[in-house]
Amino acid sequence: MAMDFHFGRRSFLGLAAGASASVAGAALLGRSAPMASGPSRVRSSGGRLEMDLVAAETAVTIANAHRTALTYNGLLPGPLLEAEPGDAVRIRLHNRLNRPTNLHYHGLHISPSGNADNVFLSVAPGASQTYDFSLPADHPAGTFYYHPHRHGSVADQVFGGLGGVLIVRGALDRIPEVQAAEEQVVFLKDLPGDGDFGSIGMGMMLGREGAVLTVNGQVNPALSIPAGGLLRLRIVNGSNARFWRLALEDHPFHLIATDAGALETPVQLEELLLAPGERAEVLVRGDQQGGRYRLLNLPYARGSGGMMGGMGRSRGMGRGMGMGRGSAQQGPVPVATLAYEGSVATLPLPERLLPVVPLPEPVRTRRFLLNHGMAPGMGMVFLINGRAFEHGRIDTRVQLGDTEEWELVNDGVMDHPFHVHVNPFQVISRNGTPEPYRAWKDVVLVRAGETVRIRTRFDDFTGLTVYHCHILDHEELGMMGTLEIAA
Amino acid sequence: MIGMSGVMFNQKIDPNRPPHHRWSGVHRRGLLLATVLAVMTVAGFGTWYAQSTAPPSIAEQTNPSVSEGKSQQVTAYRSASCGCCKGWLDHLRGEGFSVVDHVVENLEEIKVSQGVPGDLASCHTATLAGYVIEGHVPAEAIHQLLRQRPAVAGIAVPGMPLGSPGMESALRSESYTVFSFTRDGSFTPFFHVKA
Repeated sequence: MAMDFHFGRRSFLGLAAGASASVAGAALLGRSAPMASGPSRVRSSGGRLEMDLVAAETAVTIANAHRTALTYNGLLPGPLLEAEPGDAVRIRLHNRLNRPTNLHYHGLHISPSGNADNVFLSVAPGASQTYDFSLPADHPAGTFYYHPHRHGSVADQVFGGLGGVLIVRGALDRIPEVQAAEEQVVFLKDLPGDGDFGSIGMGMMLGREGAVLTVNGQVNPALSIPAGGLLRLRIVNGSNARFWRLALEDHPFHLIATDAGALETPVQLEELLLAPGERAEVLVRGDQQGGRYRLLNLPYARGSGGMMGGMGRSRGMGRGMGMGRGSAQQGPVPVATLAYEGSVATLPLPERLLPVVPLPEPVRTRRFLLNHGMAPGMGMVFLINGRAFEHGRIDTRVQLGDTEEWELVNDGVMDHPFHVHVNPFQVISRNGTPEPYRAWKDVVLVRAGETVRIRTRFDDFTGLTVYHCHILDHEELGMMGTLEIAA
Repeated sequence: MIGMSGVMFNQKIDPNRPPHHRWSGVHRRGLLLATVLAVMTVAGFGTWYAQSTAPPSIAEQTNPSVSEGKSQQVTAYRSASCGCCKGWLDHLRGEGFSVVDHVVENLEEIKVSQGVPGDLASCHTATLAGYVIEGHVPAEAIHQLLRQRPAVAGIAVPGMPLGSPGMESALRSESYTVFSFTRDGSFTPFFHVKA
């Protein structure tokens, strides 16, 4: 597969055929001028989106510090891709890393086979791979996420920086109140710090978290909202393992879309928890009298809740443990700052969004048990139904067109966000409590000790794909299964 | 090696850094400790690889291959279900230490009473020759501690690094640092293990 290729700025000029490339994307992403070798935003035009993505370790500047990161086209996050339902997409991936990679189009409802969302493809160092697929004409509008998915290097590559946002514009974007909102991508990624002692003790077992919290590749960037206006945040958790629990001072979120598309009506939230791989779109109302407001990341314990939380507190209240610590709670960390700029006539929130049609009764219910343990000959592994991932073994066989209910049982002591490729699902209940509203998801957090029921229908595409824990370290350590969708 | 390119993932120790202050700003102590304590309760059970035989509350075992005078006694505290703790104790026995293995329910209290900094917590706590040994510390680091006899309270491997004694994994191993810590809760790198 390895081939010699020469690739430079000229190629990026060439890619504009079939797509409109724009550095104005920097405004939407809110990042400073990147040391990039291509445009930061690529929109489809004439029904085609065609471009090159070069995965490489490159120099980046974060918080005035020079360092290296794994980037697409020298950008962190990678270029913002924008397409519409029905578009043909062609992406040429060039691997200039020293380990194999590939691409996953997280959340897109496209084929898992051939040169589409095929996570079993492996692009060797120095090699290239052309991805070709078309978005279905009825593909939902939403905020999606492209990132590597080559088992064996996915966690290192995502932790190292790789990932980007793919927007599908459609019916949601044509709702007048939504259309009137200012739009802002918020790509959340924590990066390893210098020497990475900020994450002391946070190894692969717990899932590595980086000490440097970035929004769109920046530390605490400025965001803006016009007085009276609406700001639409398209939020993507692009972290390896970190959960982001967001709150915006004095501004509630009005959730309008989850992972895979619009809700029926906005849901007001004081805070928003996003596990790795999860996305959300929220509207913020510019209803304050100017000023600056911090977007905060609040503490979240990924271990089991009550019992262990109690132990943590007792520790803090004990001997103080020196160094002035004592609080077991991580304090809020500002990750971006919202400022008022200009004003518009007061814009209303939308009352209705789009229908979220309930799925029919399932033809089958399956159970997936999530935990970890010491396996003979393997040592520490993460497991689904007692098995660690094995290439070539099909773990779950389903029939095209069937609706199934999956019972996800986490009897371990760490949270596991469960992700299914190709087809979105609806969360039915958590620990027997019905979900308060219907929404399309492709990642669902299954907390330690929790049982979550999801319902999905295997539509349109046959082939082999996967489900896995989206704490990517856990995926690498075995928490993934192969799903066959048969005709 | 877990590092993509070795630049960002290796925990390189810079001897010119001021000790411990680099790490004093971490906010996650409670979470980390809580999660480590939580993890240990499942490591080794909760799957069908489980060992169903519960150990006695106090099991004393010595390695007969080590002569009485040379054997260093490790007094260890762990929870009943901690499989990787048992793996670490086996590692120590294999290295000639004698082990007194205490299965306890109040591990947290023991960590506090032994002065283990919250940042450095792992799933088991032990004492040896007047020092505290926290977590999956390799015997090599313990030997260095006993040779050098530094004025510290103990040494620790925070968390549960893959590839450390008792945390073996066929899939990955991680570089990790053994820290020494003092009674006032400060800590500094003591020993480094490359993946």
